[in-house]
Amino acid sequence: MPRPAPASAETLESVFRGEIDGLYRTALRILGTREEAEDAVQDAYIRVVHPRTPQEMPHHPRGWIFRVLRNLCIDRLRTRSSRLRVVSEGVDIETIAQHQSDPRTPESDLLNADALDRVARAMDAMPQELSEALSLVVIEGLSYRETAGILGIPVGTVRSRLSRARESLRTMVEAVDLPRLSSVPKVQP
Amino acid sequence: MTDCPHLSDTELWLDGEGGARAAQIAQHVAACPACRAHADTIRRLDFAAREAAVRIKAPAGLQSRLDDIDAARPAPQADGVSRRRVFAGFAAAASVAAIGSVAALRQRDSGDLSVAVFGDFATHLAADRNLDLTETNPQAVVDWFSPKVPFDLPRLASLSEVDLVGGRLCWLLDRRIAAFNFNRGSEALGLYVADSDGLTCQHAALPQADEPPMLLSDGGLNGAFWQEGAIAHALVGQPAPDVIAHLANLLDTYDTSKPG
Repeated sequence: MPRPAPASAETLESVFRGEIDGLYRTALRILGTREEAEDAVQDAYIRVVHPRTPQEMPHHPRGWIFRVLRNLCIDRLRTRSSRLRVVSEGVDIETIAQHQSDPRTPESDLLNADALDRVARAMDAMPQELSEALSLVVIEGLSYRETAGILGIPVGTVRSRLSRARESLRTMVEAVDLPRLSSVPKVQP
Repeated sequence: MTDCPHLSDTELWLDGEGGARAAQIAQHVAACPACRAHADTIRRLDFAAREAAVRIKAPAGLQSRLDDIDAARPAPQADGVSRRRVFAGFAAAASVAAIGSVAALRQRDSGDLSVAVFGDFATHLAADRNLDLTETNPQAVVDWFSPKVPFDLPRLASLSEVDLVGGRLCWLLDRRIAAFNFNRGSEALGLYVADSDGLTCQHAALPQADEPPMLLSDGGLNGAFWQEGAIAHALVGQPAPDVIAHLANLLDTYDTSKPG
């Protein structure tokens, strides 16, 4: 497969802004507080729009932007004495509550808020290496290859972590009344 | 439900990663009750995970902060001005314009190696030894760092007076920095190695290898700073200044040619 052309500066900015919700979620999941997540996303934006030569431009901007953000988040974690997790600290619940009034999609009504909270808690309760793989592939829609580049692991490891994450999620939310298959919009492989 | 050896292929296919085998996997899933049930479960789980996550959206204020950054960005730089310097100016302007996170922006504005490594050493290497790699073999540490940093690492030639403990990959001053952690008896030392482009030390250029290293103290720590070619070195730690200077002179003899 031919390598894509390097992204332009305009593309990087556009992709960043288009992915801002996913970037924020990723930062929040790693850092655990809204303030730090916002700061990390802002820092990532500064880094992404840093003037570069054409040779320094990434060929896969989406994955590259997530990688930049994740690295910045990890550096922030390293400066802390304690590592917070999202939902277990209650922060995420607050954040979720803040967005409860968001316009809902018809599909989202298939799961009530309590069920979604339980799913969110289950995701947060899994080891971070698993929840990261699940978030990047399933929620943010990144490819295995992009995810491997972001996490700095082989593609095969992404695949195995994803499988373990799903198994973990299945075990933890067995009691949740997930929607029947016929109600779930199918994602066409 | 779990008696088919192709269950993992089902997940691959659902994730759109089946590649040339996608059609083959789809045929199998259609014909295999175990894989079909597994695919149904995965679809439901993925849907629930997405729905649980997408309720969280970036606050509107964050978009405004990015807008403020854009507003503070300079026009494309003139010839002859280094990109790093332009970025530093941009970051400084942004720090005034952006709401919050001013400290983070100021950090980007600083190219002072001594401030960065004294802080990092005090936080990570002096006490809690927040290492990414615990390893006493110098070549193994160099090999571990090599693919992770965009510069050639020095060969750790003479280590008779210190004991290597391991390494920590830092991101300081907008660049990757390799930090080697050593013990000298009960005292800890860190050797930070970085691309020297744009770095200063106390507002001055780093001394070259044929000059005496710059000796500085901060918060009870002592450090020696110098560069060899395009590679900046900072030896920071708890030993007395004369010991640090002595060790820096030993390190000064490192072979900076590419290992191997």
